[in-house]
Amino acid sequence: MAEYKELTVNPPDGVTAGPVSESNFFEWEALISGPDGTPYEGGIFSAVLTFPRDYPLSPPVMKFTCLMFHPNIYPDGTVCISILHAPGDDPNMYEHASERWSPVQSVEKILLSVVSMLAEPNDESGAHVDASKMWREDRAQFDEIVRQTVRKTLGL
Amino acid sequence: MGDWPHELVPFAAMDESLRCAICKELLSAAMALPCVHSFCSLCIRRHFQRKLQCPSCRTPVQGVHVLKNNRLLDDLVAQFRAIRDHFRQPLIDLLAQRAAAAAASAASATSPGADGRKNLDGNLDDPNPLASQGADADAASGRPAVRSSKRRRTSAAPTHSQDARLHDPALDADIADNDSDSEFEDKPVKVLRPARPRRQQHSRIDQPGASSMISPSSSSSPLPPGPATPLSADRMLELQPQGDDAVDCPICAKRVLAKRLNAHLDNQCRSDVLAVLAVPSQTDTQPRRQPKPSVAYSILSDAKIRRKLEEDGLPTTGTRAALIRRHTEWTTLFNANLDSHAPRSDDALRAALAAWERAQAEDTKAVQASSFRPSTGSHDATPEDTMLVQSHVAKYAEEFEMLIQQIRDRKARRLREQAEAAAAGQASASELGASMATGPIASTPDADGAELVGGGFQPEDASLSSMAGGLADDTSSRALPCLDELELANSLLAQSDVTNAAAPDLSGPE
Repeated sequence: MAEYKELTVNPPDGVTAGPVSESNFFEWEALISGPDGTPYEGGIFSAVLTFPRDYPLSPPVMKFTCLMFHPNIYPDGTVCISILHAPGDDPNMYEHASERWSPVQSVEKILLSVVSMLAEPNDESGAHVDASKMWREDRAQFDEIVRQTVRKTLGL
Repeated sequence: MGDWPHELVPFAAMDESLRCAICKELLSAAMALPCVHSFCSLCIRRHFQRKLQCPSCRTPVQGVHVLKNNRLLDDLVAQFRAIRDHFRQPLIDLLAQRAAAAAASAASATSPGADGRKNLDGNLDDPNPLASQGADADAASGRPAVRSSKRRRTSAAPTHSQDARLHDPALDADIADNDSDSEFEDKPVKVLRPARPRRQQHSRIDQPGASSMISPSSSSSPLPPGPATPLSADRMLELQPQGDDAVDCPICAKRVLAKRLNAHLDNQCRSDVLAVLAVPSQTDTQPRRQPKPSVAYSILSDAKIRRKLEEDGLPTTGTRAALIRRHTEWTTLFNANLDSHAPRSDDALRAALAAWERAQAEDTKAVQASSFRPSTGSHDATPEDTMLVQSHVAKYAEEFEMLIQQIRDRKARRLREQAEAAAAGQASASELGASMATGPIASTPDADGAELVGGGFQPEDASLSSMAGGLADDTSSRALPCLDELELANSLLAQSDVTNAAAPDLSGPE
């Protein structure tokens, strides 16, 4: 995949990604560093991207393998953002078609979207209901919990 | 940026512009949409099977017929590919060399920059990339800079062709292939000369350099014959049509004998036209393959689809879905192939199709084995799914039951009305009841309807499983548009024994 080459040669700031093994290019591992100025700052988060065989016609699935407390990340780690949703299925019935997956997207764009999602959660589509509620109503406590999880993922 | 160094940003930008936004490779058989976004033929055709819109700007399109060959882009890609293949590495090496030399000249106090710079400038139009690569290897391996610069001087401006031979074994091979220098002069390597007018006086040196560029010994892929390559005078003469050759008239485009062309033109294209059949043109001997039309599989029987596959020499095994997938992919591959400059043979396409199908089969296996499942995956139930389904069903059992009841009432009412209307003239109420009990109702051909009516009259405490089963049959046999929710509920209920046991408690109050 030309995309892999591009990503290794010119990695965007704050993220790295590559296949888990040389034999299976359909499963990638990504490391994302928490954006500055957010409670995620300083954290390193690992995630697995699983590509369908017909990628890039269908979007990959992204799942954090570390503990994440975020309104748009399911408790099991699966990321819920509009660009990872195929145009056909709309689980939440409100996303604009223009925000959905299109084959011109790339791993780089997905990872950058996830970074910006970490910085600015979308509390209208709560994948993690408790986190969404807390983010909206009690930001201080939300930030505190996030910092705790960050410390936990770093093993501190 | 691609794999170009920072100093070659314009090349990187061009590289990026000539790539397909879908597969991220250099465009192959570029097709333009009405919005003039262009993609590889195969990429965009596959995308259109999913969604008829431009992947970049999301403008809706009507179908594959809106795609137009973007030949200009194809030519640009072909030429850029040649540049990439043959000049990228030498350029990168040259940059590294320059950096190394700059560092060396800065470091050495005895020989100031002027000497090094002169060598470098001479090197810029070095006709022999191999020699410069060799010099670069020297620099990279940390040998004294003096030695490498001396070597560069000899390769940049040799006074005798023997110099170049001594330094480069690949050139020896090249020259050994040619018996004499005079024969050398006639080689088609001349065509590269116009690009280097400054070095024409060193023709003997120039040619080994040029020939090493296109010889297989020096590079992995030979320079493709670009359309812009000028022809030698001999070759031009060869190509000139002779008196008895048939040529196309430049005005009316009809076939005319070359020797009669002037007379034909003088007569305002009215005389001397050859009969079309008399002179088979080259295109007639190789009939152009026609693109395959898209097929409405839903109106074809399995046998007809098999026959279609058989006509194209494809395997006819597998389920109906597999047959359709295979034929769709074949059509896509075939039509995309026709869009390219140099279409591959049908056999090559068949091999590509077989490889695609193997990959698909592997993927299905992998998906079943993997704990992650793509969102577009099929609906085969895995253990996790069953768990999810059961918890979901348990949670919403009451609502499902209510919806089922609503639909059942509505259907029963509608059927009753229909039956009453049909039987209004002749039948009494007792006859209607009898016909309902026995099953077949004149106005509704499907058996499910009868079963439903029966269900409608069942007492409230009937077992949930039988009702759910009946409804599941009903919904699967005829599509009820607004009832996705119900359909889901039914399939869920049918799958889950646990809930069937638990749900009657919840359905009691209804």
